[in-house]
Amino acid sequence: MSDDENPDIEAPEEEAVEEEAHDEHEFPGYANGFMAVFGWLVFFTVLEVMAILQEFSFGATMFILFSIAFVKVWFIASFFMHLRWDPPLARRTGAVPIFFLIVLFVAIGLTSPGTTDDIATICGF
Amino acid sequence: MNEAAHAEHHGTAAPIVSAIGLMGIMLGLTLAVNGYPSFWFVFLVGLFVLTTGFIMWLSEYYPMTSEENEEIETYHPAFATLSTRKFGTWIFLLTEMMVFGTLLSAYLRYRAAAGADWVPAADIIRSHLIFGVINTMALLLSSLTMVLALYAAKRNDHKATTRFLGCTFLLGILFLVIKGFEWWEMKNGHFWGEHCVVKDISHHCIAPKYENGFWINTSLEGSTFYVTTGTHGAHVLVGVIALAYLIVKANRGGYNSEYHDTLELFGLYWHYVDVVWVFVFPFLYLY
Repeated sequence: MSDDENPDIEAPEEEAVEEEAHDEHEFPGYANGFMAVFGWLVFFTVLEVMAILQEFSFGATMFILFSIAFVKVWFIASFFMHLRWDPPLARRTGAVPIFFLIVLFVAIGLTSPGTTDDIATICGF
Repeated sequence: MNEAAHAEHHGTAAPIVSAIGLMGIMLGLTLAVNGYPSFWFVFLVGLFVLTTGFIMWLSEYYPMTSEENEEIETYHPAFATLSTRKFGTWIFLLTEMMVFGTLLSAYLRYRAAAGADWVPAADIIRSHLIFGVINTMALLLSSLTMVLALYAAKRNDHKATTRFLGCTFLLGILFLVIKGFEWWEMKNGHFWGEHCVVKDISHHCIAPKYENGFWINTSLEGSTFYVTTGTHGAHVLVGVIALAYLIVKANRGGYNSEYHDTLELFGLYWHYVDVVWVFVFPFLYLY
């Protein structure tokens, strides 16, 4: 059987073609769609500014800010960065640093080793 | 793309020249600001070499009428769906995420360690928060115009492509101008000027230690604020420079329904800069 007749070999190319077609046709009214995404991003920005002006507790403020930030990132990544239509490889690649960011933010960023006054003390000189 | 241009691009020395230049810049700058002023020479040589590498790359890429779109098909069928350039761009963005993740986690760690003694930049900026809000809107809008430029190229609408790229460029410039003004005001203590009758934080006026201004060497608060926003601003600046090039090439019809990969990949970078701001704005400007 030649390569042309072998469906196993042809499959990836067909998937690629389908993916491309998917990309081109998924968002027919793309301009209005992207403007709607922009509208949501503006809405969430206004929301987080208003939340800060209310002066909630530290915990509530952090929850609100992180929640809104992740929603905004989801909008930008999914629509503006096309991850919604990209193949899984792009999404998985983009997700790799999340593990490291969790380590940074939770294990380092939010630990309090003690009071420090300036960068010289922190660096030990 | 034609075979000659393809072979020329793969045979270019621009990447290694740029890498050597970048190494000189990092080495020279690090040593020069840490008590070895003679290394400013190494920094300048590195800058020259990096510029040379950049010009080499531009001179090779600009005349190309088409773009590479090599597929990574060798290793696994999964790679067949993604171009090499796009995969490489995502790997690059992955490293960039680590850079800003480090800066923001360092900021949170220092702030947590300082506790109540920490005077957040947000308190200093509060009376002029509108500048941060305008900058946020500018970046969000520039992301929209960037994606519209890509779709205009896909429709073979060269004028619209150039126009949308121009809007993105102007919004990037607006962001940098406002950022520069904001820094100037904070450095010189104008943010809490005569209108601050009661000079304390509860009235959103400045703490005594910032009476003469808030700058990178004023305190740890200043260091984290300026390093983080400065690194982000540097990314916007690089994006604006790249946009100037894209506008020139788009204006001569360089991007169309068949060849628009560069716009898409640059768009990924530009949107990523927007994503970073989504975190920088609330944690350095709002809280």
